[in-house]
This record gives sequence, C-alpha cells and structure tokens, in this order.
Amino acid sequence: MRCLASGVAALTIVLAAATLVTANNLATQGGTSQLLDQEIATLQAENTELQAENASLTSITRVYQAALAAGFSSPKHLENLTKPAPVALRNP
Amino acid sequence: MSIAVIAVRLFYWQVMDGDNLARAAASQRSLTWQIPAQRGEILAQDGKILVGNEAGYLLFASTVDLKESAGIVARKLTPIILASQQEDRVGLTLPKDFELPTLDAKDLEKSLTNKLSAPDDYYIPLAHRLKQKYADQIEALKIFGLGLDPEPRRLYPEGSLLATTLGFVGASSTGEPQGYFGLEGFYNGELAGRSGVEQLERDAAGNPILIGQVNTLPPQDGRTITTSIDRFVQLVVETHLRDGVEKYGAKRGTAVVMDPKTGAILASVTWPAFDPRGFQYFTKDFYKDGAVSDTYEPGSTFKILGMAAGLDTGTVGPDTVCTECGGPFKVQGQEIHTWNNQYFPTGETMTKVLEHSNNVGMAWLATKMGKDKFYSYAKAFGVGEPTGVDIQGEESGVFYQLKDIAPIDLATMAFGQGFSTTSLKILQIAAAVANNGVLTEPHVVTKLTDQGRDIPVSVKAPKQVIKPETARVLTQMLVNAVDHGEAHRLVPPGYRVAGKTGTAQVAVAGHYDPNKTVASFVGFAPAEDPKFVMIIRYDQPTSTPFGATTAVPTFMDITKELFGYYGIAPSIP
Repeated sequence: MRCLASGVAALTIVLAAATLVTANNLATQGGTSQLLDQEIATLQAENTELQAENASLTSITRVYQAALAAGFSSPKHLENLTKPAPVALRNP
Repeated sequence: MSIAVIAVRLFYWQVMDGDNLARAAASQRSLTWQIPAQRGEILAQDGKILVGNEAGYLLFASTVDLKESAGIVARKLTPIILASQQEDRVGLTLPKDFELPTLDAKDLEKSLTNKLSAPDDYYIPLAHRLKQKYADQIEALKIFGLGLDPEPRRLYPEGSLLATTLGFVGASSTGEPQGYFGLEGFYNGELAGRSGVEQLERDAAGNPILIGQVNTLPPQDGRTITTSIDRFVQLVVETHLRDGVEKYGAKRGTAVVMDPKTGAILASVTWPAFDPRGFQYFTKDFYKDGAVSDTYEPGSTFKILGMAAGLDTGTVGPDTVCTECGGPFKVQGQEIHTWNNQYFPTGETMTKVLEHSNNVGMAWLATKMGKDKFYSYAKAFGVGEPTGVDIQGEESGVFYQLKDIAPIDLATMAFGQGFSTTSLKILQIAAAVANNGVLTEPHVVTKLTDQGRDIPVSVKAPKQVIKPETARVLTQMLVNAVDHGEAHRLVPPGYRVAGKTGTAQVAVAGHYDPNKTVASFVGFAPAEDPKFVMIIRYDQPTSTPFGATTAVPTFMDITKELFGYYGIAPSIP
C-alpha cells in the first residue's frame, strides 16, 4: 500500500513537472515563433522585390529604349512574301 | 484588524473593481495589430504587370517618446528623406515645358522640425512610401520615438505608359489607400482588398504566448485585374501620338485602339498626361482620360452615323444623288455651307458626300430622313449616354431631346455640330460599322482574379443597330472616302482602310472660334475583316487645323506598324 501511494505520488510529481516543462516550452516558443514570422516577412519582402525587378526588366518600355540605344529602329518598309503553293496544288 | 483590512481590500479588487482591473490586465497582455492587405495588381493582356506593388514604409514619430530635440532629429532625417524624394523623381516622364517643384533641404528640415515639435502626439506621419533602403538607413539611426509602418508603393514597370487609363493610388480622407481616375478609381473596391487584424496574448518581453488566446481575422488581398491592353500596341500608339502633339502644336492628343468584334480596348493614350510615379506633382487636368472625359463637338466623323441611318432606313442608297447640293443648304432662315465652299449641282451621290465631307449633303439627307428616324438611330447607338466603359470619369456629353430638335438642329447634327460627345463614343459608332452593324460595349478589363480563381467581367450584350448589309455598303463608302481623300497617298500600299476625317469648330463663349479646331480621324482596317478600329484626335492643332493633315498621317503611321505586328498581308495585289 505504501509502495502504491509512493508510486502514485511520484507519477503525479513527474506528470506535473512534465506539464510545467511543456507549458513553459510552448510559452517561450512564442519568441521563436515571432522570429520565424519576421523571417517570413523578410523573405516575402525579398520575393516582392524580385518580382518588381522582373517586371521592370521585362518592361516593353525598357526594352524599346534599350533597343533604340543599341541602334535598332522601326522598319521603314515591310515586304510581304507570298509562299509558293505546294507542288500537288500547282499541278492538279 | 489587519486581516479585516486585507479582506476589505481584496473584496474591492475582486468584486467592486474586478471588471475594470480584468480589462486593464487583458489590454496589458494582449497585442493587436492590423495586417495590411496587398492591393491587387493590374495586368496587360499578356499577363505582364502594368501596375504592381513593391515594399514601402511610412515613417512616423511619436513625439511623446522622442528623447532628442525636434531639430536634431529633423537634421538627421533630412538627407535620407531628401535622397528618397530625389530618387523618386528620376525617370519621370514630363510634358513639354513642365517643371517639377524644387526640392530644398532647408525647407524639408524646417517642415520636419515643425511636425516633430507637435506636443505629446503618438502618431505624426513624416514621410510616405519610403523604399526599403531608406527605411533601413533610418532604422540604423536608432532614434527612439520613430517608427516605420508598412506602406506599399505602387510599381509602374512601364513608366508613364497608359497613365490616364490606369489612374493612381492616393489616400482617402481617412488615410487609407484609395484609387483615383482610370482603372484604379473604377475598380478601387476590387483592388483594395480588406485589412486583417490579429490579437494575441504576449508575455512581459512582448513575445506572443502560443497557448494564450489568439483571435485572427485574416487579410483579404485585393483582386488582380487583367486588361485587354496590348503593351506593344500601346507603345506604338503612344509614341506616334506624342510625336504628333509636338509636330502639330496641339493642345492635347487622344488615341484609342479597340477590337471592333469584342469592344476590348487594346490601347488608349492621352497626351500630355501625368506620370503615375509622381502623380502628386500634377494638377487634375493631367489625370483625366481624354477619350472618355473630354467632350467635344465631333464634326464630320459623326457623318458615319447619319449615313448609316440613311442607308439603313432606305432613305438613300450609295448612289442616291443629293438634289440640293448645288449651293448652301437653307433652313430656318440660315445657310449651311460646305467646309470649302465648293458645291456640286450634279452628280453628288451619297458616296461623294462622304468623300467630299459635304455638310450640305448631310443636312439634306437628315432633313429627308426626318428627325424621328435620325434621332432613333442616334439613341440606338447611345449618343448622349455613356458607353459604360470601365474607366472612372466617363462623360456622356450633351445631346438633344427629340422634342427640342428644330430643323436647323437636325441639319447641323447631321455633320456633327451643335452637341457634344466623347472620342470613345465616336469610336464605338465606327466599331459597329466594322462589326457588321453590331454595337459592342467598350471595356478594358477582361477578368478579375481572386486567390487564383478567375472571375470573368460581364459586359453589356452586343446589339444589332444597323443591318449587316448596311454596314457592308457603308464600309465601301468609307474606303472610297479614304482612297479619294486628301491623305490617300498615306494609305499603306495594298491595303484597304475605311475611315472618316473630322475637323470640328470649337465653340467659345457662344460662338465658333474661326482659329480653333478639333482635328480627328476614325477608321478601321483591314476593311474586309477589321482587326482594329482606331480614333486619333488633336485638340486645337496650330500647324494645320484639318483632320486630313494631322490625325490621318498619325493614323496611317500607326496602322502600318499594326499591319506588320498582326501579320496582316495586303489584300490588293
């Protein structure tokens, strides 16, 4: 009987300690969670910046200005080439 | 005794003041913050960004918490904020003779000092939409009492392209981001989204307690809108129109290109206009989209509608001869003259009336048709009403009520004078002719996207306003008008372009100013299967007043490029 009581008491103490440790860990992990949130925010900001950079680089205005600067110009004259008809159609 | 005192005190704290203390404790340990929603993007037809977002910050001060003097803080902040303002000005597209206000470091420092000297204020905005690098520089100063809140910046990868159609984002009366003009204004509700809120319990160090109470209302990001704008077409039209405004000494230029089959707007330009990257430097006049907001007397481009009505009602055919074109048209004691005082006693068919842009011929046609029929067609085409385009600021112009139309009004209405409308309405009329007589609703946005889910945008159902045969005949007449007009040499060889010039007088203080015109051309090509319909308009060109010598050359230059872009081969060998 005494053994049983001691066992229960020990178990209770262990469980209580475990609960305390777990609760403490959860509570203090709030700090870690905040750091992670900040990291996520930083990565999201970097991603937004990269998207903005991509948009600027693929801008038609930028490409046009770069083309002009490189010496390209709009064609002055357009010639439409007509494809010759396939042989079978030419010789029915 | 002491136990009694303690008991009384405990009773007071627990029971009498319990609720107040519980609330105070809750506010002390709870942390609430707003989670801003991301404003939606505006995309071109090809999915590329026309308007996006980039990181930005609002710098604010809590003067209650400032440890250093206002002057010292202002002195430290001035070079950073000034550099930010200077960088924001780099690359702005400015109209001719337009100057930005000078940035002065001393004025900025004085302004910051004044704001920072405000007594006991928790939140004084000092600078808006600072880029990340400037926010980092300010943080590095480690000035207690300053804070940085996220305030995203709008990103314009295409610079000032499409400015008046896009609009801009300013602040509402409550300081929230608000779209003004163009698409930002029209679709503000869709683009804005809704901020979220998160409330959770924190420990003494301010860190969140995970097992504590958490209440979250997630933000709802704004919807992305996809437009029908073709970036290449926009660039081509914008380049040529700006050149034209300069070349012809016009006060303003407007151009719109539209798909006649669907009403989808492919390009829209107003110049001079503002640059959305620096919208705060411009006045309201620069914000307006000329195609939808500027009303004017359309002049001869309106003859398209009158002729359509005449053909469709059977009043006239293309070969019907005007029997009163030998001299000025007399009505209600007044005379209507041709634009060049040239008259045709014989052989002036309806086809020739359009070719010669004959005001007398049109007045004769309208009078022969009668005001009831003419008016019914005007209303069928929606003259005097907005087109319903999804751009904020659309005007409808001023048109007659049937009962108020006198014979002289009917005669002048036939050649586009005596009432007002917009360029987009004239374009819509021409588009109906190009589209087998079917009127479509112009629109810019084709779909909204909400968290990956596409939501189509509904437009008004197309309406048959004239018979397909009428449209076909009128198209031939308009091709003839171009081929035999003053600018026929400008038509790209081998192609058939249908269109009509307009040179409308400008009413000033109750009379028409002889020195001012609105020069325009509306047309579509290729005539046999139109790929696009376009209107070019110059307000008060000074080099030459006529549509044929200003708007037509610009139209043809753009058309040549569009033929190449769309791979449209010549139809005439």
